[in-house]
Amino acid sequence: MIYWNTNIYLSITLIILSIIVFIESLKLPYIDAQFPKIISISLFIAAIVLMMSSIKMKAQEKKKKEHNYWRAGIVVAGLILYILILGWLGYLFSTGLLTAYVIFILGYHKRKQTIIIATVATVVFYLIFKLLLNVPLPMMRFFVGE
Amino acid sequence: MLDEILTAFTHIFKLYSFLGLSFGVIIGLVVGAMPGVNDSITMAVLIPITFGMDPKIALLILVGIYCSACYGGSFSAILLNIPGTASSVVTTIDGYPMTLKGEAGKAIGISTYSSVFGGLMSCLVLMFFAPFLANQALRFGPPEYFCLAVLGMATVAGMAGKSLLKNLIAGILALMISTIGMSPQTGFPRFCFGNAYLLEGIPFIPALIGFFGITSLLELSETIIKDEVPSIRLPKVKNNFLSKKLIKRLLPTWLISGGIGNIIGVIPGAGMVMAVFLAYSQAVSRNKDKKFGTGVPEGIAAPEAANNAVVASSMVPLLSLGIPGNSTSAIFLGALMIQGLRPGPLLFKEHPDLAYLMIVGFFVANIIMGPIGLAMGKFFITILPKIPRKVLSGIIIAICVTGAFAMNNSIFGISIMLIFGVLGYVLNKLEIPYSPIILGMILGPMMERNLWQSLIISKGNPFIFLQRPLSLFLLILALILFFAPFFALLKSKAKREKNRNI
Repeated sequence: MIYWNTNIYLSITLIILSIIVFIESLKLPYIDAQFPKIISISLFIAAIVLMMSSIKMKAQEKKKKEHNYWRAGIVVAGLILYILILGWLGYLFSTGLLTAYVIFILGYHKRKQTIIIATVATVVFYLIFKLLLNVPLPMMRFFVGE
Repeated sequence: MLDEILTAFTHIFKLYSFLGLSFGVIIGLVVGAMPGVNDSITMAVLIPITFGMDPKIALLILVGIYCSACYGGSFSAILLNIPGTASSVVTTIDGYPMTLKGEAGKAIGISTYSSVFGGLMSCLVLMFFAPFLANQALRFGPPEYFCLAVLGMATVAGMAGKSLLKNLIAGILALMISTIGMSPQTGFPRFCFGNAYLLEGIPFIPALIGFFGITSLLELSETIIKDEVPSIRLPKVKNNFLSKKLIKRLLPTWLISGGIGNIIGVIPGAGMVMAVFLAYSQAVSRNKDKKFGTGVPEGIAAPEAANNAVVASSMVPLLSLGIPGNSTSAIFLGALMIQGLRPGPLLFKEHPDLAYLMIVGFFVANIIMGPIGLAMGKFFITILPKIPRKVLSGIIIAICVTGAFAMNNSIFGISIMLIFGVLGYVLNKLEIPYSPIILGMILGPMMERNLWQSLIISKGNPFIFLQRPLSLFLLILALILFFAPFFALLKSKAKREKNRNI
């Protein structure tokens, strides 16, 4: 009897990944294709071994942990939005907003303090990177122009 | 030689020279502790500033930064589970669990003592054995580099983790990721899917920041229940000094890890990351009774001694032969050339005062790094508990995105950081460790490039790796490291069966 557990799903995913990489490497010139082919075959074998070792394993009763995957999803969504607005709003505003957003999402609901902390942290990092280390940071579009 | 060394000591203890060196050490500690900023960026930025300075003070500042940056990376690794530099990756494995156990002060102390020990060891090597070691390093050709990379990857099998097979899968995935970008053989783009940013491969530092910074943030956000956040326990620490008993216990680890760091540092292109993984691997195999990954002192001592041992020894090929040992010592090459100096055998003949000043500078920098580092560590440990974890995480995300952007001045770096953050989060759920992925991303290109170069040299004969004594030795070592955990597992299974039968 097969007990479907995480490892089996993982091994199926890895098998698919190794096949995709192998097929993609067939499109490459001979020399450039060899290393990816060897790696994809190794991954295929490792995934098969994982599947064989997991297939008879009883699904273990895991302690029921309360998972809030959706919270992690909200943080990811915030970061995606940050990437999209960074070029428009510039470093200072975008990073300040992101910092405040993350602090708020994690459950710190003191709004005034959050805004002050986010502002101070962003300005300090701006000064360190831009002025001290000479790293150019994105400016707001209004100032840079098209 | 002794005269020049004594003259150099005299010069270092002059006011401005000593201040310059101390300034460099402090800057190095601070930038090392910040993810995304490392010694290379800092030194590259400061070189134009040092142009107008006295060359001796300029070089001492750079020496101070280089010495302390990799040690500084251990602060954020231990306290926040985010390595400040790539060489502190392994320190997170046992450093952060020690913090969670309320032993952050002890962890910082171990890191400090280990870094100072490793650094001083490599200074002595640099001082007395530089020409001999440089000649040995020249014996490394493509076959030896390939076998060295295989040796590095073999350490994956022995890393802390629940499943050997998953460690191997992580290593293979890493090699797969390393094939993204231009092929080292022909420059043909592989798996770039039309994205020009991927031509140079996956940018390493943003990926590192993603794995550690973003992954831990995602996990933190997930585990918040009713606004209760797991807090970092950082009890008041009187001092971070280690007891004599612990020093005695760690001494063998320091000696062996320092030795590994010295050897790897002398070989141009081998890199600090390989040294720390090798050192950690040997510490694990030597201490089978200890559960690494739960806050074992040897788990911090080994990588920290190794990474600081690489620092001065990476100057061996530079000062003796004019070949930089790694990217940071390449910056030294630039700094010396700006000052009108030519590194290599003639440096000791034409400018012995500067050559020995640098060597003695490394020595003194390692000594003053100790008390400064302990004081800074105590400061961070005092400050951190006062900042709510939720607020600290927000500040960390700001530094993560800034650091990820700073590497290539590109928003693409932040995208990579996010992708690898999510990947790290998923890998954690699947109980696949991501330390092997970091190692594989560095060693993969080295492995592939040197494999093909070796086959070209041997005209397609794959036995070249067995025909050269040094590469054969490295391969045998790799096989031992790779299979040792399997044998240990079989041995413990046999023992359990025997006990069951009894």
